[in-house]
Amino acid sequence: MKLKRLYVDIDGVVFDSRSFIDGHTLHISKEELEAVAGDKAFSTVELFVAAPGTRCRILNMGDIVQPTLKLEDEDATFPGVVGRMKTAGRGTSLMLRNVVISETAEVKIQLPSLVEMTELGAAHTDFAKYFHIVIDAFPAEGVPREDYLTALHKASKKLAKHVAAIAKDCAPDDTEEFTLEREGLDGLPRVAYLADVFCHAPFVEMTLYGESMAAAMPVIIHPNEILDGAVTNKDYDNSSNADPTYVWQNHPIILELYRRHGVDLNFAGVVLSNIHHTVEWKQRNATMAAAMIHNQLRADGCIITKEGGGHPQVDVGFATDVLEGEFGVRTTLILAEFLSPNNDARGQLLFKSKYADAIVSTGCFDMVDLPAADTAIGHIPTLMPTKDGTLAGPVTINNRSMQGCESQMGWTRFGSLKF
Amino acid sequence: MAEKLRVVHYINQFFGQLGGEDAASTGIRTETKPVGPGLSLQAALGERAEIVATIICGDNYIAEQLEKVTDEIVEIIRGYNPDMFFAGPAFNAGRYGVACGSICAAVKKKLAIPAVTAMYAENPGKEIYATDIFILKAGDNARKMADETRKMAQFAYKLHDGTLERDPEKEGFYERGWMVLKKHEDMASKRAVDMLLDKLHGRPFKTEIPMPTEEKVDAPAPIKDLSAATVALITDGALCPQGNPDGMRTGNSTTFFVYSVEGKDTLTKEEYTCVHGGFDTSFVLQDPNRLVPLDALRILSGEGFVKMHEAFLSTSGLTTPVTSSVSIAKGMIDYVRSHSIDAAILTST
Repeated sequence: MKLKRLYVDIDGVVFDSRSFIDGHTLHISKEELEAVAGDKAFSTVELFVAAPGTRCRILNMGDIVQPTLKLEDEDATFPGVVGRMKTAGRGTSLMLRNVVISETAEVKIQLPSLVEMTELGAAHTDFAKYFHIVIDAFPAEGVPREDYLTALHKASKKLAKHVAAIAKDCAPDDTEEFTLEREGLDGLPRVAYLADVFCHAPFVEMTLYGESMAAAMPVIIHPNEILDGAVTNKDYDNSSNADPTYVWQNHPIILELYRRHGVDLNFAGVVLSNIHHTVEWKQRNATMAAAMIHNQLRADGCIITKEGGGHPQVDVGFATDVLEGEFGVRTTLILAEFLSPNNDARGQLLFKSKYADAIVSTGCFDMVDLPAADTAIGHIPTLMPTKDGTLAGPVTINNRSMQGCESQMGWTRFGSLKF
Repeated sequence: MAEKLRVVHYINQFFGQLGGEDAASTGIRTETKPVGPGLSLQAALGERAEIVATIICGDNYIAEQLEKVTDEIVEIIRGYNPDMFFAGPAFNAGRYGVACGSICAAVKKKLAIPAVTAMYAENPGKEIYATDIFILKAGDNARKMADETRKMAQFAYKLHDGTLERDPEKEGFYERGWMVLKKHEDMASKRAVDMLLDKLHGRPFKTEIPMPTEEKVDAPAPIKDLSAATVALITDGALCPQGNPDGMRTGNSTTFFVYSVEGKDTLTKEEYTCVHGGFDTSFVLQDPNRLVPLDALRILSGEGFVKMHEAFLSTSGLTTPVTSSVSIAKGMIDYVRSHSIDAAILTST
């Protein structure tokens, strides 16, 4: 299985009377794109552009998506979500870089989540370094919350496909090929990746080909499928506990394992396993996932990540015990240390495993003082009150509310210093 | 030249040259000059600071009434109006290490001046006080006294000048159990792959999150006669009356609340709600009894199976630091003991 990605780099986004790319500037027709994003669940749809380095704040972040289009089969872009069902990860995909489609949710969500486009914002998350085309859609009267959020989830994927298509005639700035089939792998340690995903409740979930894994057992999946839109993020209520679709499309562990495939390791494959809320399910999924990694992927080592908050650590711990204890597969875990706001370095692990001796941190609790922004996109105030009561006012927020800051899939440079 | 910084130094009877175990019950003595290790400490401090007093106390004398003697010593220290305080180094001497830790912690709290001690990794004083104060790493004997006191002096100057880095390896102190955000050169994903390959190849690696040490909790003895036992309902699922009159937090709790159920056979959705911020609460909002099973317990108590306590305890168990959890639990235990409750049904989410 081979995936080729063609990249067109964007360094400016402007509204115009029609949509086209001139050099590296993306011109978009507001009217045209708003019509693409439209849905009967929305009363109004308005698009905004947020540029990096500006004093702009995007509130109540939903999903963030990289524009992408399947070139040989456009209808199969984001299969199962807005595209026809087809195996992702093959053929050629066109992608725009440095620009993302993002959503501001116009309903209340449980955890605050925002992107601040300033330099301070960029110091916390790379999402502040990209141009955002933000969908600001309001629910139509009488439309239930779930219908609204489903429509929003699809709108960003439709728009991601539509915006990528604007670049169809552009010469790519860069290309990348992804295939596991190559020479010179003999003798290199086989390394697998286990992604424990968090399908916990409606809209606290991810989707695989458009369906939640809430009741699913673990699956082996080709890394190309993940890079190519088979997985989307659908976590709205705890969005800062999960990584947006963009991070799945650019999964840092998959990309790192690919970079080193045939160099100092042999990338053996990926297993997705859902984090359930009952112990029986946790044990079942962890045990099955570990067996797949050992028996099918024949891995010597495995990286494990999780989504969600506290109890998903238990799933990671179970998987570690089975992988190391039963099968001798060595493990490294990635965990965020955001459980204790007092930054007690000893209060961050909720499970015991004598094997979990290699854990990478994606950062701990911190408070960030954001000065007033000039503009705020979205109308739902962050849960932390601003000092002047306005949406763009100065506010002190938890670092993890800055979407991407403590990416649990390792898409961050943050960690913690113990002292 | 500016006035010299005033320094007080604490040592035990042995280093105070009063004797070994035979002198361990000696009470508090004060000298207005450096004594024993104080001489090399003074040499390391140089011209910028002066040891104005040395407090000497027997290890047994302080160990037998640690809090009281610590308080007395802190008041003596206060009398010298010092800018810095040193204790030890205590090496691997257990009682001495605990005394140094106790006095440094009290000096830091009450006098708010730099307080520095040093001891061996296995000294019990390190285990007890490392979260409260800076304890420098030291050997298990006094052979390198000049080195140890030099490190203590340099460290104290850094504390005093505010130039200390929060880096235990570099600055030579034992990890205190706290952390701050740190930005690495490499993404977490790369660090994880590097660490895994090191582990696979048997190369040294260092976890970024150490597994905490085990805490063993013994199960209580079973209740022999349930019909004579009073059972309370306790939840960390954040059930509360509609409108959340006490402002129960959705997470990061510091306290718990008690809600009477006197005269109630069931918890209705009109009367109760759930403010927990970390799980799908829809089934609780439909029927609060599924979080706090009052309906079932009322039936059992009607049948004489158990007695029931006429209130439930509730808190929100979400992103709650272990220290807060322990303090909430202690409060709940006090409540349970003072209300003659024999058993509790804990429902968690």
